[in-house]
This record gives sequence, C-alpha cells and structure tokens, in this order.
Amino acid sequence: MADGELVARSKKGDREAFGELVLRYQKPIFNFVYRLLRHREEAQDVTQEVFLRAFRALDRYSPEQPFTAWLYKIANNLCIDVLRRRRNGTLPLATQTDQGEIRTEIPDHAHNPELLFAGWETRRAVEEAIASLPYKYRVVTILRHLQDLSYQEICAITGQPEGTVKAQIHRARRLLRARLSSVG
Amino acid sequence: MDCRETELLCHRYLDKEITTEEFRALKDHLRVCPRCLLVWNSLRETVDLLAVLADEPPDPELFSRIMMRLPTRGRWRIKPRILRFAAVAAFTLAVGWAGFFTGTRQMLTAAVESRGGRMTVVPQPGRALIIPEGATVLGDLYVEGDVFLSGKVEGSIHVTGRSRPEPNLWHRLAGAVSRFWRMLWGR
Repeated sequence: MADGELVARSKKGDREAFGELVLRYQKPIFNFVYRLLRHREEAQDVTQEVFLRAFRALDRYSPEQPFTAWLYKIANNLCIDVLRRRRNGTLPLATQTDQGEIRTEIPDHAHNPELLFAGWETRRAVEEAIASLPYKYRVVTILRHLQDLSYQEICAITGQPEGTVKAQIHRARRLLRARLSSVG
Repeated sequence: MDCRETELLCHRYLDKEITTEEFRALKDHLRVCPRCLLVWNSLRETVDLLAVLADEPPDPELFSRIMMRLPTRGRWRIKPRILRFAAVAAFTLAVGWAGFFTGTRQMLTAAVESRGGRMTVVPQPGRALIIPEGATVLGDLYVEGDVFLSGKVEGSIHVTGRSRPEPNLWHRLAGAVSRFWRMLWGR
C-alpha cells in the first residue's frame, strides 16, 4: 500500500496503518538521527519523538510533499534542537577532550557482529570524518550517501534549492577527501 | 576543458548525472592531467568509503515503544483547543456555583469610623460589611447582615448575619464569577 493511502487511513484513526508507516521508516529515520547525534539511546528517543510528532500533526500533512521528506524534516529539526542543547551544556551526553573536541559514544556494534570484523578502524575514521563536517554538510552527506535520497528529496527536507544542495555535497566531498586521505 | 570543469564532471559522475558526451570529455582530460586524475581517484575512494557505513538497526522494541505512546486518534477526536475551552468553561462554572452555594456575597468595603456611641450598619441585600485590617471602630457596632472582620472594634459588636475574616482572593473571585453567572441567567 502506498504511503498516501496509509496516511489517509491513519488520519481516520487507523493505528495499524500508521504502524505500517512506522515499520517502513523507523530504520532510515533512526539511522539518519543516529549519524547526526552519534548516540544510540538518544537517537532512539528522538526517533520515537519523530513519529509521535508526525502522528499528532497528520492533519497538517499535505500529500503534495512526499511523506518521507516530511518525516526527515521533523527529524532534522529535532536533531538541531538536541545539538543546540548540547552546545548550551544542558545535555552532557558528549564528553569534551582536553583538546576541546567533542566526542560522543563509541558505536556499539555488538548487535551487528558482521561489522565487528569489517574494518572497525576504517568505519570509525569515516564516522569521525562525517561528524567533523559542519552541520549542513553533514545532513546532506548523510541524506545523499547513506540514505540514498535524490536531490529533489533532499531539497524538500532542507528547504534549500538544488544548486545549494549540490554545492554543499561537493564541498562536503572535498572536505571528506582531505580527512580520509590516509585511510583505505 | 579546464580542471575546474573537470571536477564538476567528477561530481556529476558520482551523482550518476553525467551524459555520454560529458563522460568522454572527462576521460580525455584525465588522460592528460595527472592532478585531475588524482582528484578523480580520491573522490571515488571517498564515496566508496562512505558505503562502509552500513545501516544501524534500532532496538527491536522501538516499534512497540512508539505505538504504545501514540495518543488516541479517532473520528470523534476532540481538538486540544476545544478541550481547553471546555476546561476553562467547566472551571468557571464550578467556581461560580461554589461561590453561589457557599453564600459568598458581593463585597463592599466601607471605611468605618465611629467616635463612640452606637453605630448601626445595614448592608444592602447580598452585600456585607467589611472592616479591613488596620481599621478600628470605636464604640458599639450593630450589623444587620454579614460582616467580614479583619480590623478592630473597640466596643461590642452585634451581628445578625455571619461574621468571618475578610474575604481573600478566592472569595472575591468566586463572588465575581457568581455575579457573572447570575447576570447570564437573569437572576
């Protein structure tokens, strides 16, 4: 069943229909949030909040925009709030090193054993490189390269024109190229 | 084609947007420009490295956590704005009726002075005499009605109604609401 049909049923109170939407998108939304926040538990809390807000705001959802883009937009706004609170010191989830860097938790791949043997250092280096990008570049990089969204979808999520998004992607690739030049 | 245009074509290739002609032009330039060849190779390796990051699965119970927290939503769902209005109206009604049934009267503060002797005060129906804190009545006071006494009476006080401390904000509010509802219902 298409997203539009599920949304229409959800608006009428069909919880199973909304549950289907949750099953479809909880993993990509969680991954998007997790890559931005780099904290698993917090990412799950934020993912939960994304779907709660979406459910409450279903009446305001317009079928003219893709449902995925709408969900990602909610997720992006929530992540911005979380990161802002972290910078203000109200969410001490990250630890500050002596050099002033902000490091978040080391991802725990115990639940996905394959990753344990797939170049942990390389993965760590890539994660750090993405995390070092400015927020706007990080968002478009994750959406384009990890979530595999089209430029149209990314434009709908970020509210930016295509030219701007492409320029950000190109700039992000150059920055990542410099940071990952010693890896591989 | 210059090196700046070549880098743009590299990005178009990585985005799978490059045309056949553009790809041919890109290959021709890479054959003769080692610097652009280096940029091309490193960009491709960077994008390949990003693919190393596999999806992280959320905890299995995330779905049930989300579904359990979903509010009830149905055909007869009442919007929060209406709920808030109904709550305020119900509260106002409850306060008004509470004020009515507890006998709270419309308040009238009167500056009371007496230079001795006897003074008789007859508050209007539905009203009460208030002797506020700090006020002193010298002499005997007869009140044919209710009195709220927070000040002093240096004499005897005779009350035919009820005597109690000066009404507080709750009483005043209840009285105002009670008047409002009586006005609405024409009593």
